[in-house]
Amino acid sequence: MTIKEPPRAEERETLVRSSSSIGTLVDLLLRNRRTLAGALSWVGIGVLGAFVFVAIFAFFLAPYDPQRIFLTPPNQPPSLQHLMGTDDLGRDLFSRMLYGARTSLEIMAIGVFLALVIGFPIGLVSGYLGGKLDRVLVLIMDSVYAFPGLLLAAMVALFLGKGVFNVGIAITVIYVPTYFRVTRNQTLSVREETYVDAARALGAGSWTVIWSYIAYNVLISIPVVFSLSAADAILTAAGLSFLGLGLERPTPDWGLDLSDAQKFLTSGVWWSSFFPGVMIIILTVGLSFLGEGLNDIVNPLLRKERA
Amino acid sequence: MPKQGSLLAYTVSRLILALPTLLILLTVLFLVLRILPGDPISALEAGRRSTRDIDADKARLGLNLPWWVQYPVYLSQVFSGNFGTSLGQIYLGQPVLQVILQKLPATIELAIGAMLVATVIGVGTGIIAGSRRDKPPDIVIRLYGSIIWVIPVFWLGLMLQLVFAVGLHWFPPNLRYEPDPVFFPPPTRITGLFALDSLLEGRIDKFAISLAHLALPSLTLGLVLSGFFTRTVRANLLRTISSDYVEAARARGIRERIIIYRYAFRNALIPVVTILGLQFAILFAGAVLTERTFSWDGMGTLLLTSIDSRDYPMIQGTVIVYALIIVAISVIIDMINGLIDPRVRY
Amino acid sequence: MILAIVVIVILAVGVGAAVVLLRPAAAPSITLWYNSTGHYGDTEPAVAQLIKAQIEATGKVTVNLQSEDWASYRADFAKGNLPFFLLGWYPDYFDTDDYVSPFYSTAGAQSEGSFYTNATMDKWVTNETASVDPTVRGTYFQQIQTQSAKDVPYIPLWMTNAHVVYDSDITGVFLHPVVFKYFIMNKPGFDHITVGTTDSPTSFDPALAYDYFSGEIINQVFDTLLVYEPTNGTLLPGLATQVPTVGNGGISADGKTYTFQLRTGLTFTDGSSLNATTVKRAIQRVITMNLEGSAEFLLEQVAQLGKTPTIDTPNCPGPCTTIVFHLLQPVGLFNQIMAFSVAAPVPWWYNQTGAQQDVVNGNVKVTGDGPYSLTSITSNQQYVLQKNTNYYNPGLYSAFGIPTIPILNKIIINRYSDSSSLKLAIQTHQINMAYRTLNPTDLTALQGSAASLNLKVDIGTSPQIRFLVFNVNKVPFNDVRVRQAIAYAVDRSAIVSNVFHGFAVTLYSMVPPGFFGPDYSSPVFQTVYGSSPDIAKATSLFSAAPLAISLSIFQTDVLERNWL
Repeated sequence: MTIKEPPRAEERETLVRSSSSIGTLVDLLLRNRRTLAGALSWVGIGVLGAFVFVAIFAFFLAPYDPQRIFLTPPNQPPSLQHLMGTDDLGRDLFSRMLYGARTSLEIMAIGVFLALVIGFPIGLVSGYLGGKLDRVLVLIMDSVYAFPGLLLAAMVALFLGKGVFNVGIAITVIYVPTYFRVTRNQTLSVREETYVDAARALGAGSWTVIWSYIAYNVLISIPVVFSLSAADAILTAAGLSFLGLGLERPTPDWGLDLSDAQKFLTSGVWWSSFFPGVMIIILTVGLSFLGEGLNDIVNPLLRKERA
Repeated sequence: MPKQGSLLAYTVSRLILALPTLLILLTVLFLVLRILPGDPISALEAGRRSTRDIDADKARLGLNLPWWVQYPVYLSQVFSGNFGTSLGQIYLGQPVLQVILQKLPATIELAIGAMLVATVIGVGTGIIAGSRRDKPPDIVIRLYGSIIWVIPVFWLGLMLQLVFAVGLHWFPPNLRYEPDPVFFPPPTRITGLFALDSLLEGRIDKFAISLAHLALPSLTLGLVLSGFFTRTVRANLLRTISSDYVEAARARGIRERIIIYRYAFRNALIPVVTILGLQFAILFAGAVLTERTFSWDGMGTLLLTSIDSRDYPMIQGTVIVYALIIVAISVIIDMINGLIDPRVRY
Repeated sequence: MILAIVVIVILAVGVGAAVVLLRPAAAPSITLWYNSTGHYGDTEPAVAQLIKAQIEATGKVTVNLQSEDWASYRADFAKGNLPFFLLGWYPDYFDTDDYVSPFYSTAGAQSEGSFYTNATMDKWVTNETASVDPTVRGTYFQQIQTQSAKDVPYIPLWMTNAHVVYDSDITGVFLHPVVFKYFIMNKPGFDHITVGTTDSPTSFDPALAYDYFSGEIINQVFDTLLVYEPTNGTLLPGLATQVPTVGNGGISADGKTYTFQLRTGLTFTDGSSLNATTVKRAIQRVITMNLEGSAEFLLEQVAQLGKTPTIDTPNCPGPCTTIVFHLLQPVGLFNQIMAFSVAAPVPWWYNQTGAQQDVVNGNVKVTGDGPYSLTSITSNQQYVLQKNTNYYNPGLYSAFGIPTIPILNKIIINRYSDSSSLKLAIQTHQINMAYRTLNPTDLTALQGSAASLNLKVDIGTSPQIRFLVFNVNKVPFNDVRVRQAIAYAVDRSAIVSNVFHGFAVTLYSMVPPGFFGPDYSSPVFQTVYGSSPDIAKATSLFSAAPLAISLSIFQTDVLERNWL
């Protein structure tokens, strides 16, 4: 997916050397909480927070061990003992969904976080220094960006093998260009701001300029990209599992459970396909709400139109 | 040198830019395919061919050479169209490029179908949402736009199959054409696109059958893509509506309706072409999953089969062809953009 | 701003810590491999997970699951890379030996990935193949099976089902254990049928093909010297004029010489001649090329033709119809092997240094002499069989009420990506027949709605067996106590009822009961290990072999492919 890029610096309301751009962000969120965009963002934060909580405390929240097999017979519809029913091996679906949150978030964290850690500094340096290095890097990143993400991830996963960490790496490869792009664009805008010139005129070294002035203000746009790429990462991981390249069984994973359960759908066993699918949709919708909402708030063009 | 700002100059410059992009893509693929650890040939072939043949294959493919020697060979092979022969179980011995060209039209047909669905639904809903800003239709459509692209495409495909094929019997559940070639001979192959070929053959009945089989896969993929169209068209429409020349038109007393359709609408569509181009990457990714769901014999299925049988030359060939297509499409999109929006050429 | 990074890091650390802390302590681990790309159907992952749970019920070991695509799987177990894995076996010929030599002879065990070797077993196997006396063979088979339960290089688990779903007006559909015959099927009022499958072929060259779908097509397109009656395992003359016996002089008294008389005037569909020289050349070709993964060992070792077969063609040139095979040892089931696809004669021009390519420059090169010819191949999508108008023996089954074969003019086989797609296709009548393979739940559903859908659902026990294989050279499976412990822990009934919904049969010996003539099967695993799991015994055996298991922790589970 193409991440919509946050606007250029001159269109933003406040752009000072901020000691905390997350402070600015929270400030914006609170001020906008009654608008649709603000509401969407808060919904997104809530959803993400809920899933993180579930992932961390799955051990305490899950009624059963997600691997425990109740062969009584399998494929039980939802009931009081099994809130979401059981799957074709008689495992409690509710517990598997809770632990599945952990797997999804792990993959998401590794993949997107690593992409950020790699893409952000490269984008920063490339945008600030410009010149030949910048042109070459842009060409490389744009080319990778243009290639179908799932296919690239499939290639990487094919050769690395299965496992949470390997899937995370495969996803990192897809999203580094996104972070690079966004960071670089923001850096380009901020670089031209007067206060940066002023700082340079006063003799501040390149490194100080980059770090103190540009980075802070660029970081405000990161959460938008983070949310949207995280949503996409979860879908890509599910796609990899569907293709048989993602995780090894019996790891509880929404994508894997969904693709394993689909063969039973035609016989009327709807719950084992429905709940994993719903989990994926809720988390990705939450993340995309968060991203969209943040984007709308941080993008003053649309804000101007609202007036 | 054609003069600055002419379409020709612009096209030439885009073509020139396309080469390094292609080169970089090929290099990235080379890195992924060759540098990552593993000896795919041995893994592939042990069990089907004698050791003598395996070593011969490795030598022939040049895989036992150091990577800096392999790289120029790899590039020259790609540009001369020599993708080698298949080593997988299913296409054993057949030239890779030939197999790919056989399966490619199926994916192109699916892509076109999905694009049509996505454009119609996406642009339609985007315009409705944009022109009724913040009213209930707008909110519903914005929610639709946010939710539709996160639905796993393989799940959506299965749902559509169950509802429309099994439940309502409106469409066939899978395959590109009827599986019985005696009762339903497929259209004579001219382009490989069944719908087009049946029209070229003058057979409306065959055309109807190809469309019927194209319906559900296109709908699946198209729906998922439409979300993006919706949001972007809406945003662009809003931007255009609030722009100066539209304000001027309003000031002159022209009716809102005409303003929307004559001014805002047309200009809002300009970026749609660009979006189309960008979407192809996502389209190909989604097509792999869709083809699997609908047993659609295209490039996606070919890639999956070659992965399953560790058919290394075929995997490499398929992925390279994808890269070529994407670069070609981006050049075409740029050209179209240059055609309709002269500002871009400078 | 620092706050943002700190928050993210805390989150990541928190999740990671929780993950690490809250996982159960790792017990010593072993790895179970299975194929995840549907070679044995979509049920395989469920089976693997069930077995994992059953072994872990002892509390003494953790089982890691690993899966691979079929090509890599086959290569890996043949190379000895898989320590413990699931496998299946389909009979090639109608003799109990086909369930014994491939597993318990040293050569066979090597290609099946267990690397089991026991000189006494080898002797017993050689003896039973040499004899034709049922009593004598019975003794050997009993000894072999009893030993197999002691040494446990394999654990037999279940026998699968064979099933086919088809339009209720199609006749002649029979789940033959070895050769599924399209040429005896008929759909009144139609001259063709369309079939759906999820199978993929390897190659249609008899010298290489050794998997079910390839064999299925080859059996319609290539005839062998001897063929089977329509519904059972009795042999009939095929390309030969009679079945060699001691009585008619076809088999020498010492059982080491087999003489076949070919019919005259035989040709392949391209007109090339089929005589004794062709047959000799084709058999030699298989053995000389010895393609990895092929059934060559059936000719070289089982049929005792040896590496350089001695085959005489006394009346060539000339009528060139007599072919004499000289075996190194007497082999009672030689005729059976001559009915298997590996022994099918191919045209003289077939590639002599490698498998013949099925399609060259868009032309189908598969050339046979059977009731059907393969006229069109769209790789991995559609295969078209067309009536061979020059078939040499249309009246083959006239004695069985089928005046001419083939009955139908065309058989079109379409491939679907998975079982659910296949089910959708047969359910909506896109195709006339679905053969291999539907999911057990789909089968049940189709059974229920068969009448209203005008379909027939035939389900029979198939002689395909499914079992676990131990690479007896790999730690910890080199300790027989570990293998025996697992034999005590597996719960076959759970697999059969929960994964296959009763459509499979529990199996207690590598020799399945009730198929081939004299039933030599003996449920040794039931006798020794019981029909239900004995977790106590399994646990005590694991405890008795602690050194072996703890060593496996230091064993790398990473596959030793040829890394750079």
